[in-house]
Order: sequence, then C-alpha cells, then structure tokens
Amino acid sequence: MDMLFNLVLVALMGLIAIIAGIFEDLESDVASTSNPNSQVQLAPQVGNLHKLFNRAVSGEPVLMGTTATIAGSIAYVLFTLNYPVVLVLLISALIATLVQVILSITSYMGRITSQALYNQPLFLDVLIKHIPISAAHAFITLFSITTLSYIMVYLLDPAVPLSLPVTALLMGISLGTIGSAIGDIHYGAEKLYQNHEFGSGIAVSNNGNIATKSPLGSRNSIDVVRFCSKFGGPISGLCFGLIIFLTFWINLVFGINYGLIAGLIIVLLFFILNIIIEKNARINFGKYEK
Amino acid sequence: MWELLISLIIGSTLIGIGVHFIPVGGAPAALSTSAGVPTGAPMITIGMGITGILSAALAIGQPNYIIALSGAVGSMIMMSITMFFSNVIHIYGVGVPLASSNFEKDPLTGFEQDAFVSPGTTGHGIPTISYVSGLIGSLLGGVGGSLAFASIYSTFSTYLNYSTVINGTLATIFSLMLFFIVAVMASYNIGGTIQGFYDEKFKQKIISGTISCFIISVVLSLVYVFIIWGLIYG
Repeated sequence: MDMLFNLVLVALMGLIAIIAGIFEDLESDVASTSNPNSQVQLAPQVGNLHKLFNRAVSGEPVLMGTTATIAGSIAYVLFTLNYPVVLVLLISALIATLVQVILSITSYMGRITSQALYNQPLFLDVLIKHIPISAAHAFITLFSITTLSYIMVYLLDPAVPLSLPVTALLMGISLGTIGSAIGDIHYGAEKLYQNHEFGSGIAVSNNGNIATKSPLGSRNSIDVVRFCSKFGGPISGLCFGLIIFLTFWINLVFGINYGLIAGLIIVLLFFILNIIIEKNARINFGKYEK
Repeated sequence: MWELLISLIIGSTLIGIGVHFIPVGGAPAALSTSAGVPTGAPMITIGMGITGILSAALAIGQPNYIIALSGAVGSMIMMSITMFFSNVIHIYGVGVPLASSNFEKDPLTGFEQDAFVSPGTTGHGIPTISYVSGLIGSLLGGVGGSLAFASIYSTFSTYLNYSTVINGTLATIFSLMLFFIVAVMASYNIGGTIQGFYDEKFKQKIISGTISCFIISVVLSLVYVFIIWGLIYG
C-alpha cells in the first residue's frame, strides 16, 4: 500500500512539475527574461523601437531560484506555526509573486530608461498590461514549485532529507535552467524573428532586427506568450516533468542500486531517440543552398 | 579532515573538467545562431549539478561510492533529457537540422556538418558527438558534486549531533556553492561557446582549464575545511 501511495505521489509530482515547467517558460517569455532578451535590448540600438516587455537582471535560473526560495522559506515558517497546508502554499506563492512584480516593474523601467539615448519610449500601457500577466504565470509556477517541494519533504516516504526552503531552491534553479535551455529557443529563434524565413538560424548580421509589428498594430509580449504556449512552453514542461518523475520513479521501483542501471538505460534511450530525430530532420529538411 | 579535503579537491576539479565537456552555445544558441545548449555554461552546469545533488540526497545512508554514482546518474538523466528536448524545439519549432560548423563530420554518425549549417550562423542544435560530450560532462560533474556532497555529509554526521535533515541541508548548500564558483571559473576559461571534446577549442582550453580548476579547487577546499572545522570545533 505504501508503495502504491508513493507511486501515486511520484506521478502527481511529475504532473505538477509539468505545470510548473509550462508556466515558468511562459513567464520568462511574457516578461522577456532570458537569453533572447539580448535581442529585445539590442533592437532600439539598430533602429527598431518596440512595445515588447524588457526585463532581465539575472539569468532565469537565478531569478527562479530566488523567488522559489522566498516562497519555500515563507511556507516553512508558516508550517511551523501550524497553518493549514493549502493556505500556506497559497500565501507563500503570493508573497513571492509580489517580489517578482516589484522586480519586474523596476527592471522594466530601468532597462527602458537606459535606452533613452536610442529614443526608445517607456510605455506605461505596456507596463500595466504585462505585469498582471507575468505575475499570474509566476504565481502558478511558484505555487507548483512549493507544492512539489512540500510533497518531496513532507509526504513522500522515504522523504527527501532536506529542508523545504533548500528543496524549493533546488527545484527553482533546476526549473529555471530547463526553461532557459529549452523554451527560449522557440521564443528567440522563431517568434522574435517571424519576419525572417522559417527553417534557418538567425544570421549574426540580422541581430536586433526583430519583428515589431503584428497583424494589427504593434507586437507586444502577450502575442509572444500566446505563440509560445503552443509549443515551447509545453515542451519545457514535459522535460521538467519527465526529469522529476524519472529521478524519483527509478529509485522507488528499482531501489537505489538497480535504479542506477535503470537510469543509465533511460539515458541510452534518449540518446538513441536523439539520433533518430537528427537523422529524420536531415532527410526531411535537406541541405542549405548557399 | 584530510579525507574531506582530498574529496573536495577531487570533486571540484571533476566539476571544472566536466564543464568543459558540456556543449554550450549561450545566448546565440537560443537564436539558432550557434550550436550547443542555449544557455550559459554556469547555468546549465548548476542545473545539472542540482539534479545530481538531489539524487545523491535520495541515496543518503548508502556507501559513499553509491551516493556519488547516484548523483552522476541523476545529472546524466537531467542532461540527456534537456539536450533531447532542446533538439526537439530546434527541429520541430524552428525547423533547422542539427549541425555545427566547428567540425566537418560527426565521427559517430558520419553526418556531414557544413552543408546543413544555415548561412550566416555557426550551427544549431546539439549534434550526436556534442550530445555524447554533454553526457560525459554531466557524468564528471555529477560524480564531482555528489562526491563533495557525500564527504561533507559524512563529516557532519560523524562529528555533529544534528538530524539527517540538517546535515543533508548543510551539505547541499556547501556542495551547491562549489558548482557556482567552479562553473563560473571554467566558463571564463571557455570564453563563449564550445561544442564538446571533438571541438578544436576543447583541445586548446582543457589543459589550462584543468590546471586552473585544480588550483581554485585547492583554495576553495581549504576554505571549506576551515569553515567546517570551525563548525565542529569552534
């Protein structure tokens, strides 16, 4: 019965991790946090004024790690005061989201005003429209991470032998890394450069020449998040969900020692899958014409 | 304490060497302008190391070598899945084949590279040989991180009368810091992008990288041993 309960918990953790992954990546897209932000930052310097949100003060993993740790720490304190679980998870995520909102507003204003030299205006409507949406995404992400850490530390048997804030830190940084390494490509290489032909990388000479117009009016980051929610976000979520699920599942089902062998088999499986998709892509796309 | 010092030196040197193996493209890779994992070297190393430390923490109570192997497998799983899905986005989201102009032919699959690199870029995605290199990097990084974790944890559990959770938490924070410092140091040595051990740049950078990582590891480990000594006897 214990085993079954644990398996259900691990499956639930995978599911929550998928949700966290999807919304983390979309939050980074709507607030334009990560690697492709270099292009949003560069655009006014090459003459492309835009109405995209522009916020980046640190790498995505560090930002996510910080806010997740704040949520985890508040949850830890409230748990010691014996508050109800759901209330604790909600309050902690909410307070951490407030920190994210303050960071977003100050960061956007700072970034845009630093570009006054290139005549980039600071649009208050961009600020007012984007902040609630990025905050909503951040709230779901932080709620999911805190819930995930709560399950790992308090419900799972054997539990992760770490405290709640540190587990939240680990989850936050890990999630940020994955959102940054996977979802960003869909935003950077595809959505920002939709004015370029599909099916090629972005040449260095085109850097900063991003799409600033949408079918109706100026493009904003809400258009971006709608686009990325169709592919980039879900794939990031799937990746994070699979990592969390498989890490715990192999230990639970096969034990520690046999779990090592199972883990290596999984690695090999993904390696083979990678070769297959690489080969198929080459056959389907063909060579580039110079 | 000698055992701890030696484990920390070996662990952090392994992390430093591991960073060099990971194919990193940085911000340009997120635009399909260069091949590799589309984030900074320290970021992907820390993310990978963390999954390793989490796996290592799950194996607490086992012999040290099992904890180290557990961490390595955790890191490898994280890295393999991340690189796979990164390639999925490149192929199905951006519509580019996986290729890098840093080498002519992939020695494992025999795939020609240059003709599949879009004009004006130096590649996109993670080709098979870079994927293998990433796995080796995660193996080294995972072993290094969890070796440090295991040695710090066993020192704490031997000398301090704290609970498993406190010892585990302290050991996690200490070993996580190793990743932050050593990975940033190694990425300074790499200086931008690298496509794994088959890349020419790797051969130029690895020796100086190993030496500098070893030196920083010795300094760092000494500081760690002083802090831990103070925690126990202070």
